[in-house]
Amino acid sequence: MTHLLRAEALRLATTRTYWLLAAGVTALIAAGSAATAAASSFTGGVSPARSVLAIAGLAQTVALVAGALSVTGEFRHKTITPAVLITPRRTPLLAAKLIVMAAAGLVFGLAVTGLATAITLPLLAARHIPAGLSGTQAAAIVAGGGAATALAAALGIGIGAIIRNQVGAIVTVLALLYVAEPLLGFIPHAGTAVQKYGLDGLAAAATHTTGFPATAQLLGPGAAIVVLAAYAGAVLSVGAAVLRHRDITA
Amino acid sequence: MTTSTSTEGSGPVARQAGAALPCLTTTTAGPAIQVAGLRKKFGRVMAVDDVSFTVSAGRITGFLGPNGAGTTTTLRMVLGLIRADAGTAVIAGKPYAQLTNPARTVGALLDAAAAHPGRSGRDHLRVLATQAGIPGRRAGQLLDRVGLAVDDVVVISHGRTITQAPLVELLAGRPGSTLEDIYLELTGSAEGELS
Repeated sequence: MTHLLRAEALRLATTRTYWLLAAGVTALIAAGSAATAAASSFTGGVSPARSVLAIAGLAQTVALVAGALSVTGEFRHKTITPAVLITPRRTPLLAAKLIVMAAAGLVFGLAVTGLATAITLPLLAARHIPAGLSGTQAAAIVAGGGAATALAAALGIGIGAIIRNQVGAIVTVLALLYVAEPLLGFIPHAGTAVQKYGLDGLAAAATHTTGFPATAQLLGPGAAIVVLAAYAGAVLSVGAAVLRHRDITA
Repeated sequence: MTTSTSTEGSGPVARQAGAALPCLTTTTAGPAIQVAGLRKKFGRVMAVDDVSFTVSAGRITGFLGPNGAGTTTTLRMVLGLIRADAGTAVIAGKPYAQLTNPARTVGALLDAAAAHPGRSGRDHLRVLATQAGIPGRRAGQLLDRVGLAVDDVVVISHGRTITQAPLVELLAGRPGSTLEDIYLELTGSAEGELS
């Protein structure tokens, strides 16, 4: 397992795609939180800091995509063949990927949520806008960002193992996040459940920020992380079963 | 010379003293590979129908067939990548998945272009070596030995890189083996035929 983990870490470190994704999203989150904190009028009774830091939720989106890429990329570039030849037991192979990508997600989530907080709070203070956030609460947001990003990467790996086609997996992830969940959220009654138990609502709850719409009823942070972990676990179990039985033809 | 073949129609043929990609090498005594009654259907297409053969150790054996004959599917079943509908395939008496350290027993190269385009050739080899528990520096040693520097490219569409870099991958599992020397002797003449 040590060999597998080291190989997986090396795969991650030597693939430019992940570094470019991370750099792009970090820049986007930094610029987005700076612009919003510096210019938004903050109406509607939501905590200003919480609504700005919702931008850091992009970290979870990119982790979901990166997790899916880490599996689908193996199929797309056919590197799954040598990987399975060296390690014929495919579940440990997937487990190593899960551990490495989730750990990377945790570090990345902590870093960018921390960065967004470090940008937002001073800017709000300079405009004399009460952030509505204690130091402990800010720390909880950063910790939640780390946990939610790690779980998003795990979920992405599960999705990638089920849908090995790279375009198919990415389109599924983005359509779920940006089309299905927002639209289903408008359905009377049932919509509130989507806002609460959908990925966006769970990630927002886990990071103590605001969901979509900002007035959505969310779970508590602990409960949201448990539900997210349950989703990831369920999808990963299906993904591992699919991977075990799949013919590797290319 | 114990190779026997049992094939039908335009199915694959195992033949000795030939070499063809995709290829597979083993380091074992006794029959290296024993295949009996392998069968595989993809949907309605019968890809491999009742293929049996034995490959002896210490011989160079070619496994030939026209495009679509099922040679690659057969090799993938032998290597546990594709699940056979029927029949058995063992390497050194065991199914591939039950070999203790398969990368040190079998060198298999099924697709010379199976590499991530964003990763350098050296890193590609380092990843695979690390996964097999081989020190990553061996990748560099082997590359130096075959006279390749693939820091920037994994695959060049023609010429030496595409034939040699993957062959280094094939050899990486066996430190100081005679196969490596055989390969180095063969490359001069084999390359022309393979490319």
